[in-house]
Amino acid sequence: MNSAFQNNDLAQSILTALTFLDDKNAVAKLRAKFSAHEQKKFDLTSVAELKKMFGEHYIEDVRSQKKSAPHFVDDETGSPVSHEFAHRADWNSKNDLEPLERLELLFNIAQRVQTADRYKSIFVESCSAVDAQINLRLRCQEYFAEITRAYFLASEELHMRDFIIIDHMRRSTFGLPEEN
Amino acid sequence: MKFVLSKNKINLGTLSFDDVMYHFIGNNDTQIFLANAVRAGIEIFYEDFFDGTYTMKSETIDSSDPRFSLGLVDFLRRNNFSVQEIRPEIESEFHEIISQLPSDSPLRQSAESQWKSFSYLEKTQLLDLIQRDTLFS
Repeated sequence: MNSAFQNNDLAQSILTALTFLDDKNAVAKLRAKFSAHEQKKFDLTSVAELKKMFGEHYIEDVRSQKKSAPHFVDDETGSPVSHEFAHRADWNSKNDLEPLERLELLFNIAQRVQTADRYKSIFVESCSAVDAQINLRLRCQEYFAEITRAYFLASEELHMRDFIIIDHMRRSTFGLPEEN
Repeated sequence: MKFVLSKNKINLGTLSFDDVMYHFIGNNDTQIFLANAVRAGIEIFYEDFFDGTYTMKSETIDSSDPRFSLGLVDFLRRNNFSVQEIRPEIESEFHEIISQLPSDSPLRQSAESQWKSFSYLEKTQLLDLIQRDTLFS
């Protein structure tokens, strides 16, 4: 393949991508395109991986929807309530998720929270439990709450992979189609 | 860490950190707002997990606290600033891709100019789309 041909291919890809983003329905189209490629990644191997990361008991608790500890806002703080509301939609608390959907959500968040390009937040980065599995669990819970808050208040701050996770969840919750 | 600060979609400047200092280059009013906030102490919120419950707590910290940088970022977000991280590897990835096109290509010029105005979400979307298209075409 000569370089002129490669450049033409690349130019076409860039042009397609820019046109795509220029479209007012870009995010909706992207979501559909992304879901089709990314959806089927979660399987039994992933469950085994989750058990290794978080410990078998926690994963069984999530699967059987045994509620985690409740969240409280200290009486004197009050302010970041959107963060606290977001906890109500995670794998521990969201009642309408099937067991595998809860695990898949946890799996997706666990992947993201361990990447260098994760969303930076003091809630996540200040988790400091000595036990590595508990620490990862806390980080995932806080990460989910923070990207959910950002999704609704400042989605431009998110990496597209974080955006897609929350957007997909919101659409499945409200029965909205992925295409618009 | 380096961030772009904006409010109501207006770019205000860039905020970066070294060990115990923040550096802001940009809009004057924002500079004053930051200086006043840091002087007064930054209120941070965090969750404390103890005895089976999570409790959100608050605390005021100064720039000597190791949580200062993210505390300031969080404080700005609570004050309706948009704080988007600048990730050098994303910038390099884009420039590496775009440099494969001739420098006088109108597409390259247009892409470079649009890139500057893109949010972090749009930048990551664009790179993913190009990569995906290249992989699947």
